[in-house]
Amino acid sequence: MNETCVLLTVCGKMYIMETVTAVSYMVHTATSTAFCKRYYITHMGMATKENKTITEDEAALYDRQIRLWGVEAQQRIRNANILVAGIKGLGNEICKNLVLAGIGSLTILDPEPVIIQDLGAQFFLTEADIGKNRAEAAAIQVQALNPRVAVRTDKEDIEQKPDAYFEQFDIVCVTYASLPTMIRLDALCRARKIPFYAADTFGMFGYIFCDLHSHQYIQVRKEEATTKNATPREISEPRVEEYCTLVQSLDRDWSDITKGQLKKRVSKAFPMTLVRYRFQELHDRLPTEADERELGTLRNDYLPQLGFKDLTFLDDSMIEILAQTANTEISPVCAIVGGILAQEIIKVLSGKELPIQNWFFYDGIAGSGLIHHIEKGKSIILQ
Amino acid sequence: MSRESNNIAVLGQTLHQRVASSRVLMVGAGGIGCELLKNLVLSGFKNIEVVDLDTIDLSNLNRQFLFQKQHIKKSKAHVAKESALKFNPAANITSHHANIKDKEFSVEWFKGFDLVLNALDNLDARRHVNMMCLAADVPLIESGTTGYLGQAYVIKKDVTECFDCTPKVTPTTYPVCTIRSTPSAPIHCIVWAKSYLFNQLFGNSEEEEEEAYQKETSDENAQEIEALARETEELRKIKEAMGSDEYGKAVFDKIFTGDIQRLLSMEDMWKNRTPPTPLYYDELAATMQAQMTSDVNGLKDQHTWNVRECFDMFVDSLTRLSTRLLDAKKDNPTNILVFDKDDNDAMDFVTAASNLRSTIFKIERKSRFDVKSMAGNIIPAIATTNAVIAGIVVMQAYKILNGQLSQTKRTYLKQVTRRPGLLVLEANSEPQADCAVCRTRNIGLKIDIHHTTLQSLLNNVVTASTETGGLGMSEEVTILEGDRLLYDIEFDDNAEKTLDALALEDGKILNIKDDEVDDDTGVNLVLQHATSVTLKNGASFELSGPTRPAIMEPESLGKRKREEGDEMANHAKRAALGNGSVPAASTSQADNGVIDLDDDETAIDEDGRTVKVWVLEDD
Repeated sequence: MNETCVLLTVCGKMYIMETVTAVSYMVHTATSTAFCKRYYITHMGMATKENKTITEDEAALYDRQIRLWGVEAQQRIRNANILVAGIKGLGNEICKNLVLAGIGSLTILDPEPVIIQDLGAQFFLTEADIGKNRAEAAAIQVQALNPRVAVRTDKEDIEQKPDAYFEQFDIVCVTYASLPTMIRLDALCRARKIPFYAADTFGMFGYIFCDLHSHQYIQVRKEEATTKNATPREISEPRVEEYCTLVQSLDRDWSDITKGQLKKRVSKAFPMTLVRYRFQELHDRLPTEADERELGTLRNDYLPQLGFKDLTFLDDSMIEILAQTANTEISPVCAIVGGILAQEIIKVLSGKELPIQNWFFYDGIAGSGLIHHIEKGKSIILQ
Repeated sequence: MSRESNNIAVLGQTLHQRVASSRVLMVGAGGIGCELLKNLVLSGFKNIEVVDLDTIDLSNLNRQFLFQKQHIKKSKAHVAKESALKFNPAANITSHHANIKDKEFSVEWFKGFDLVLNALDNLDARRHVNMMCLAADVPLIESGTTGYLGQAYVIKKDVTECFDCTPKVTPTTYPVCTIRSTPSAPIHCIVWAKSYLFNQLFGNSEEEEEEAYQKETSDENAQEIEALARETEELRKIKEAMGSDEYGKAVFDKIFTGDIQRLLSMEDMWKNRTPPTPLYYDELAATMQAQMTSDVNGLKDQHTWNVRECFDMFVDSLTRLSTRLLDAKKDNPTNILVFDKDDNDAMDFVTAASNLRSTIFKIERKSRFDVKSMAGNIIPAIATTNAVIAGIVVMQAYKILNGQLSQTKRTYLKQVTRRPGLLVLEANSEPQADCAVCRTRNIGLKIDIHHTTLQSLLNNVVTASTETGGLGMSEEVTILEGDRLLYDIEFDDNAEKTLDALALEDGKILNIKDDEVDDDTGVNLVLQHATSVTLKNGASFELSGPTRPAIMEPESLGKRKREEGDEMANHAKRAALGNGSVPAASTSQADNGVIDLDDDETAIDEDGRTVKVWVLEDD
């Protein structure tokens, strides 16, 4: 808090007033550290920018979305600094949606060069970009979508980044990362109270994981209308949502899940994701068509360890599909998962409404999109 | 390796080839359209036609990402094509800056596509494309979004419900007395300012009352309605002074003082209501000049004006609009002003007038921003929801091209709740047996439209016996083209006009019902112009197509049967999403983000709302 006060004092009286508000909020609310951190970051952002409020031009540009989430939420979106690490098809969608929404700054990190297959789902790229750095090539088109957003690029490998690097961001979002990278990022983001997202797609499937630590938000609900003509009053209630870590969510024992629950509430994309990561962990690469048999063996060994008794849940035809598509991306699946993920990030910035808790799986064969809520310390997670 | 390697790996060669060789039509290049066109060219669709009549506006740019600032005022269809071609130069896109209802887009033209994808924002065009796809027997994927919610589903003749199988929500109407005499909510005052006052002062006051309110003529309010008619008449007289210095005061005194005093004199009306308090021009003019107080955000539209600010704005915008109207009338005395939410003078006027009225009736005043939402029925649309729905549309398209049309599911995007489903699936429903749109026979009619009168069509085609190649209907028929009545037993004004004189050209569809037959859904005649020289054996016309409705296998689709009670809720929900024009004051199932499905148990969620606990289908 010392740092906050010093900075804000420099910036003038108005900010000192706000610091006092933030401090008293912290004193009075025991579980509000995450909220205060975000409050602090938002105001830091404002303090360093000349323009504190949304201009009339911005209000005209963002008119329709402001009608949905309000000016204050737009103000928070405008001041957010977001990292998207890994920009492939899914990253294209996430960056497009966030930049259109008018975030403050976007940092795109990707060390890899563009290859021809990338053009299949990555609309920010053209054939002329083949061989160039993927982040730099995409950033030009990302910037063209909205000149108001500060778009930055970073060509370094995320594995090489020191922990302190992530402190400049209000939200960290990583795509197509390996599981150990995701675990490291989740832990360091948690230590710094930075909301963390990890996501990927493979073929017809995709997932989102998020760790929002202790997330404070406002739930708006409509009161029941009493008389015929009365307009129902809107009631805003503060809520707190507690999240568990990525590791804790993966530790869950699934032996309590009944056959019916497995069929109706658990997405096939979930065990496919797990088997895919297991393979990557063992071989340091993603599986290909030639690895079908080994994927089958992995399923037989690994899923029972997690407590899945019924292996027909992920039958051989699904293993075949996984082998063929584990390292592919198609545009519609990227659009669906990237749309939902960007909306979640906007929601978390706005501090309104319940976010996804804490896994989402898309299965393009069934057409289903299911939330798996895994709670720390609870064996039953699917209500 | 190529740009298509991933698509081939996921779809397989066969489906990939079918996608590449298919011809698709995308109707609409707006919110969903921009996302969809991107997905289509990336997914390997090669032959795409795009139709949109609209041009690009600044408020589109936060979500319609194929457009940028330099494209404002240009054709959406053309710019969308150019932008999307950069994503895949191998795609063959044809763009039409045109209305999908234009005659060039005939049934024959629709037949040239394997798949039609709707990306529309209005009910009228959706209905039209639905009808054309049924007539051409082409599968249609319908989609829509509102705020965080969206849906996509397949419509196929004789297999699924069509767009018109379920009734759509019509705009909310208010009883005339609520609007004119006893408002109790901001929306009542806004409707009064926009639909009554604006039209009376600047529009066509001779025209009958707006459709925005309902005429109730119970005995109780008959007297009040009479009094209101007198008030309207008095206002008309005051209008003659338009342009004079006293005009503003005269209008103000009438509507905010005199009319309110008259209402107050009706004591019975205020027994159980808060009585209004009239405002006085001189009193308000004498108050301290308002200091434009800026609110926290500093945006002028977000700020709720105080009474003095409303007063100033009322007088000022009345003058501006009056000047415009008088100027317009110099060109042509029949010119009028029509309310438009994007007309700043009109919005200033409606905001000021509605807030003054709200003050009188002790109703909360609203900011110009809020008044615009309500007066303009603005449906907030965002990029993310559109992106998700456009993705789902392509996934449905894959299924159709893969020969799995009957396995497609109606898919909803919900808001996050405690339930597992974020994308919720529902089996397609069967066509409604009595649907006038999809259960009607479509018959192609080739005829010379320049030389055939409506009467000769009746004699030679409609009433002629089936033995002689006619339809064999009785003389008592009703003929409609869309909503336009062309002929019935009491209306034969058009009988001697030729078809082309009635604008019945290629692709137009005539619905003919036999009034002698109970519940007749009639037949649709799909017109195609042909001279007798080109017709077989020199006949004067040629009919083609099924003469009876296709028989549906009753068990062909949808294992589940709906509860009677759920029917309306489902209709309301779909309509709210489907027509893209939810009236401002309506609350539908979709509004709170809870989409309920049948067959499931009911539960109370953490907010005390009754929700259906849903389960995924078992197949």
